[in-house]
Amino acid sequence: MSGATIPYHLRQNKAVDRYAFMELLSKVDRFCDVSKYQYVGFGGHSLEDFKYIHNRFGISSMTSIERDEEVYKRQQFNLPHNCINCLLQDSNDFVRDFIREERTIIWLDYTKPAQLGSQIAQFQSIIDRFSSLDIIKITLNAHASSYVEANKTVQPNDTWNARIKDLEKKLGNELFPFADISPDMMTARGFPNAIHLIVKYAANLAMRGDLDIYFQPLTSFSYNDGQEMLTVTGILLEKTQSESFFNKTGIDQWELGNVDWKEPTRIDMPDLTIKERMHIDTFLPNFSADLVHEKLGFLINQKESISLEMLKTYVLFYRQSPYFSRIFV
Amino acid sequence: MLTRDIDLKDAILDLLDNCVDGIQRNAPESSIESDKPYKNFRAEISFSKEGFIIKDNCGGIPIEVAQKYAFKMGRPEAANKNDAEYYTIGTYGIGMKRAIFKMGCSSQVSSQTASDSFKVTISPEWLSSDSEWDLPLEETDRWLPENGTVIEVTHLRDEIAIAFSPPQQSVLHNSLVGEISHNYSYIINKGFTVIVNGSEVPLLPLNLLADGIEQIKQNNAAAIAPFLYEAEKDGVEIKLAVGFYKDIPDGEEIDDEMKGVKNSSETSGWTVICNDRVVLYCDKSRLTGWGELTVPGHHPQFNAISGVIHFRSKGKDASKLPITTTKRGIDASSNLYLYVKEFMREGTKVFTSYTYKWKKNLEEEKTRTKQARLADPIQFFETIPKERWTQVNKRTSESRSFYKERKFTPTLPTPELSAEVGERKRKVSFSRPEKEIEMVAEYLFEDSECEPSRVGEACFEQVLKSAKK
Ligand SMILES: Nc1ncnc2c1ncn2[C@@H]1O[C@H](COP(=O)(O)OP(=O)(O)O)[C@@H](O)[C@H]1O
Ligand SMILES: [Mg+2]
Repeated sequence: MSGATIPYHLRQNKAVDRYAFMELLSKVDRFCDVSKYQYVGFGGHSLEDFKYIHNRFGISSMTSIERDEEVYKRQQFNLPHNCINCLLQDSNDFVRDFIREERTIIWLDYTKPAQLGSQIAQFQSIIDRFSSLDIIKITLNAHASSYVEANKTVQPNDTWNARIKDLEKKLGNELFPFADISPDMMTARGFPNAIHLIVKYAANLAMRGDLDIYFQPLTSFSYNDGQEMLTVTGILLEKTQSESFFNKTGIDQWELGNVDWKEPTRIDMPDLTIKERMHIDTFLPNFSADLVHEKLGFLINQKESISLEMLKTYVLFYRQSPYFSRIFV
Repeated sequence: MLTRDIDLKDAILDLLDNCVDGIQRNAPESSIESDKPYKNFRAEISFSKEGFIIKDNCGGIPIEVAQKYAFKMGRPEAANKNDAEYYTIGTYGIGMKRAIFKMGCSSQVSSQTASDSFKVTISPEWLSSDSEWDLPLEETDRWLPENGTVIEVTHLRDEIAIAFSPPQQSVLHNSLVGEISHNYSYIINKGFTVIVNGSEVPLLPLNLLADGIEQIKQNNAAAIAPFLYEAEKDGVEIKLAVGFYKDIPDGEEIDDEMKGVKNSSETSGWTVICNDRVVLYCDKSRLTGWGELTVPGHHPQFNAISGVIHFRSKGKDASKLPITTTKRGIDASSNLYLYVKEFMREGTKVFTSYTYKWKKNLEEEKTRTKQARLADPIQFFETIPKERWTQVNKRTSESRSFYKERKFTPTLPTPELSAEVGERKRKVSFSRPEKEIEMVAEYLFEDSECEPSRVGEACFEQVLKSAKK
């Protein structure tokens, strides 16, 4: 159920999310030199993210956290660059011992719904130790039925209430945002936003004691490559920095930015052939999705409205969307 | 003088308490017995960096109360008389002023009762002058649509303005709503509406697990149900219910809590309610009988046990209630309380013993009790037939002063002794690396996240089948 074993090219939406992250970092780079940061992440066996970040930004202080010994050994084998320090450690232990000594980008890439409470607590202890301009990205399982399965024998309302209770239990009274979350968000579709609001509450709660510095959200996406996931990226900013930060980076104007905790943007890429993509790309960026849809001459889904919706998603993310193809070596 | 040394949340709750004072002065006598006696009462709180407002339709501040102490510094002894006949919670005449000064240095309080309408303005100048003590009360035209009070605070203190502005605003919003929904659940359940920054505080009722009433009614069938007790003395009605509000915790949950990884005990323990006010919330100490006489001290193993005891004075004489003179705490030495505490302990013990009995058979317990649903325990006082209740033995003269006394002890399920005599159940338990458990879980259930205890059990059954061949 975790995505760990599914290769990236089959996780199209996650790949888009990763490209969007790279683009976000390059925007931040206009404000402060990203190459001077350290990067911490859960690299998986291929350490793919590390490769990208090193190649693109020249970051060379990198730490990978991995709790599975076999995967850890495999990382040693695949090690794309020798600047990656691989640790065989559970993220819980890593976070406990984390001391922030240099500017940091950290990506907490969680998958398991059962540990939501501890994941949120780890997220909080990291930002608690962060300084201004440190960046954190957190990915959480937001698949409603992986929390509490929909039960056809009862009223939907009962399932929704059971999901609320489950979240309350996982988070405890301290971390559960009683005002923001209501039973009507507990549908499969509304669930990612509920998790989003939990992250918002946790971030602001962790920053409560700080008067001059705050957690500034930058992007929030939800996507589904088998499980519905939510991913939020934010930065710590001094209140006095905020204006010049946005002036220079333009993230508040960026179509993929989400700087005020609006509902997460959904990444749901249509499955287009390379020929289709190249054709559509020739109309971009100057044509609207509606116009491109018309020009296409066929629907990409049986239902016209959905077909247009899918094309709109493509138009929003086409620059972040990689081409995958088979190569023979 | 007035300390501002009070938590912001508590200051706001003090103001909300005052609205409840208003309700208690104004709720029509006739509705007290009804299901939702507070149905049309509401309080609306909003805050932003501009200021704080609380408005209610709870009948207003009686003008004598306002003149004699609500706006005087310090509360003269005699003023208490005004409220003696109501079960309000205020005593010192400081709650409102303290809350206002905690937040800002400028305020306007407007109030309208059936007979009067007035406003009081507190200005920064007044605050900084040492000579003026009393706050001038100004009569006004009637302008509120319903009798009630509006308190507005502006010129916020710096730290309060930060707490009231984004991003911290939403933190306070959420935690305040959480706190109100727990501490005022009883009053909300009776119809009171509280709105904080536009969102209505949800009702978190104190429900307990019970099997269907048909099951409970049967004479010799075991059933999950709360322990109940009721009595009356000196014009005070007493009702108590204790039971499980969730599944009893498994070893993992208990471990996590002992290690401090997680705290899931918050809503366990005893809640004491006097005239609809929570005076003690989820207490796990000797005060409510835990760790006293034969009852064990609270422990994560008892995390699913929760009880509520309700004292209500009939008529308006609240003096017999077992509460301290500040009306904020339980008077643990009152004879009334000491007497009923015996039944609190008796009830608690029914459920602590149950968790011991099932400790080694949690899986079986789970299947045995999965029919049980959460229900409002109050309903059982009516639905459980007379024959299933027992009278209480009167031994002392004290106990004879209680009447209409009865209790209901549920016949909780007990672990099955296996059919074959001498076949005792034993527990098998072991730890394996998480990854291996996941692997086996994936193999057996195609779900790597299946509960470890379930995985272990399935393995055993699998092997047992082969062994039996
Ligand atoms: N919104 C309100 N509605 C009705 N009565 C109120 C309201 N606010 C304050 N009062 C009454 O004004 C008096 C003073 O309140 P307060 O300053 O909180 O003192 P105390 O600390 O004694 O509660 C109390 O009797 C209280 O009931
Ligand atoms: Mg008061």
